[in-house]
Amino acid sequence: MLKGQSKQVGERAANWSLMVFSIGGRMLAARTEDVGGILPWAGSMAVPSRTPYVHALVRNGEAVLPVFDLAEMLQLHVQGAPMCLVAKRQDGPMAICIDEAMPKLVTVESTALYPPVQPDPNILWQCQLDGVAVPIYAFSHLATPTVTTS
Amino acid sequence: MSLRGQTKSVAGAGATERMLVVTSGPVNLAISATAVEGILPPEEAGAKGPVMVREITYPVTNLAQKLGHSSAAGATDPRIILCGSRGAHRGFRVDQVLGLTEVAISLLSPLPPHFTGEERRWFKGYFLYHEGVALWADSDWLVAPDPGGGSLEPPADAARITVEHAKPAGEIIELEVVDAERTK
Repeated sequence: MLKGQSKQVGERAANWSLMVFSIGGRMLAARTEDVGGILPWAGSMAVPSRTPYVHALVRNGEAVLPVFDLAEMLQLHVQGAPMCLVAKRQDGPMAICIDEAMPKLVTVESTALYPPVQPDPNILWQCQLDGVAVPIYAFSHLATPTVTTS
Repeated sequence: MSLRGQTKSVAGAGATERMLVVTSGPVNLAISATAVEGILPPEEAGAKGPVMVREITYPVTNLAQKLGHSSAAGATDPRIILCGSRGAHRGFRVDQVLGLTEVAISLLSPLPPHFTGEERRWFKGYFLYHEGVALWADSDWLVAPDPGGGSLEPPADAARITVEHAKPAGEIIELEVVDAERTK
């Protein structure tokens, strides 16, 4: 990266590989490097909690992940038999319950990225897919105090 | 008056913690056996108000209320668990007692760092329990008065429960050792 060049510009210089999924029928995306995998939803176990959107654990074999309720944050309801998207947040992986529809891998040219109309620290950029504006969520710092508008 | 032989011990797989696992609504809660002073049988579980056992008065509330959720509708095997820690005593109505469990300390995990609120003080951690997980309650938090919940001073009309009806958990529940060897 050139001296003085912002990280954002550097990131935009290449194509973006995205994982496109849906919650409540709404298309959302995240960078593939921020996604740890897609699993069947194993059912969550409630944890009394005051942390926003984090009120459960989900178990897959010996592994236990905290559940981040992205549907609650977006005020949506997951549709169909849910799937589990493992998001790589900076403080560790977490499970996000998503719609039944299998996520897709999509590559988007950096020139197709544009900022969201309403600034949202959880959204990196938006892009158009099939004529629909799709927000690209910043899983690495989703809903964290250190969230920034990079 | 705590459970017999319930203290931390050193077994072949290392130190262990003995815990009573109960359900309240959707939550499996593990209570250190050192803090469990008795379990009232089903016929006493419907007792209204505080109960007195061995001259100790236990204000009784639903554990679900303490945990801030709803109790399971139509719990088929409710019990009252009598708890005590550092001189404070409370009784909790639970949906079901799942068992007495001995867990290797090495198998106890702290809550993931994603949990950043007061719950970090409420729960010392969790462990794998059967097909799910059980949350390990902090004993001091468990018996402490609820914020805004009023005084837990024992009223004079506490129902007296005979000692025979308030058996320690170890006398009515078989001990289960949770995979103490699974430390490698």
